[in-house]
Amino acid sequence: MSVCRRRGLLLLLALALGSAAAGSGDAPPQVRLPLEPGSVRFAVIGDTGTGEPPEYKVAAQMERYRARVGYRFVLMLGDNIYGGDKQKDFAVKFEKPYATLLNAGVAFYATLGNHDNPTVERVYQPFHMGDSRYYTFIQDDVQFFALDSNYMDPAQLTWLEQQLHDSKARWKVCFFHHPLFNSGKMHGPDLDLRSHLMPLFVQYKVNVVFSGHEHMYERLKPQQGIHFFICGNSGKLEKHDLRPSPDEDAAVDTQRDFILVEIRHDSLSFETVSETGEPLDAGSFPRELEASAR
Amino acid sequence: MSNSSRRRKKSGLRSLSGLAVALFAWLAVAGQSSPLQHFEENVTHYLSVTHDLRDRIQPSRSVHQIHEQRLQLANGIRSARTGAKQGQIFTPDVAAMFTQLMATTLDGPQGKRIRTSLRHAEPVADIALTIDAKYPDNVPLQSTPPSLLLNLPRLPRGMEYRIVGSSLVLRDEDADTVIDYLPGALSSGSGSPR
Repeated sequence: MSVCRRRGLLLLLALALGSAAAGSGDAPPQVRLPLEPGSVRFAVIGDTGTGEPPEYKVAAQMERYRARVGYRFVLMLGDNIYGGDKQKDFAVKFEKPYATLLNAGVAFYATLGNHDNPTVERVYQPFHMGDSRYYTFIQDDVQFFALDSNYMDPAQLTWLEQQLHDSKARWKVCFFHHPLFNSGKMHGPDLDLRSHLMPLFVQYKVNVVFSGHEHMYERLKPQQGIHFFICGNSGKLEKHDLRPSPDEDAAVDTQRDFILVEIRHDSLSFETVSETGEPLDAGSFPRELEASAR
Repeated sequence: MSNSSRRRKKSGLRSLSGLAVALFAWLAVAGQSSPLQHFEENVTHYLSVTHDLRDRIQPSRSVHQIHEQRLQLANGIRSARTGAKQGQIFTPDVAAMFTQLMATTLDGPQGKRIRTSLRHAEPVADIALTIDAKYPDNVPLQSTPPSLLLNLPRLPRGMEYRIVGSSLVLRDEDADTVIDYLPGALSSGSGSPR
């Protein structure tokens, strides 16, 4: 881990000292999530589909942590299959690296990135998209909204507003490819997308947003009460991509990683784990009851 | 009505007013029916020609099967549109209307924001496009900014606008093919998007 700033620095140092051997060998990982009975647990990955060894390395750590955490599903933040989109591409870039998870019954919920072929991926059953570019699903108290940030047309915006309006879930989690905020040099935030989505997110009290596209990890300070995570480095990695930003709480741009999340009642806990099994970032925050008030 | 609905309606009204301005301008040139009507007729005709071929792509665990279904649809479309050329949907009057709409949008209050989003979206370089051919393998599908989509005529399900280099592409979502394209559409307005 080489990039950590301000508040993130102390946390990351403490994590590193407390788990020097966490990533080595077959020892069960030490997890900082509360692992409360009845909680909703899931993993988050982004920009994975390279089919190259680092993707497999991250996937191996995901399986190692699944055995300990028992998460049942994974959010995919787009760029699930880079390059070709033939049977062999899906095999090498998805089915093989995550074979152990798939065999264990872990469900993958995909969103589309700019490198994905929507014609194929939206009907590829293991991605659970139900022949739609955008969709929603509920796990206990949590409603997830998978959006297609490549093509945010009026029809999708209308659908999203209706779904958010009708949602009775305690937690609302949105995930899509292009980040509304981030400090990366490679791409940066999508300002036009932000101008259309933020008013909806604030009005309907979305709690958390996960995005990829920028090939690094970043956790931002809450923006108008909403927590933003970028995880675009579960396969691809753009080293030294970060530029200093006052909006950033923690960030990593020298290692690949994935995020573990646990939600129970009014609390969300997270732990970000590197390709070598080291914890990079961890914490928890309460559900904001009046997100639009700030 | 919610605030965001109102906002979008307002925004939609702005778009409609922009569209109306363009339409009035082009009505004067075209004389009778408007370019927007022509565009809608062209789109309806495309869908009617390909209608019976759709609904063949069913969800599957087999990528091979998905490709077979997609290929059948694409081949059917090619047979039904033998000889289709660039400009069949974007006929001259429609192309002129779109060029005007793009210029108005890119020069308007959201223009700077749209250009920034296009730059941040991993822009795709200009490449050779062929009507009814598969969208090129290994070329990313660049995102289309929401403000741009808000200012273009709505499309029925199965068709979408995409940006390739400086062209505006009409893509068949089910067949993954290029229906038509408008070269230089993003060069409209006072500044290039990239």
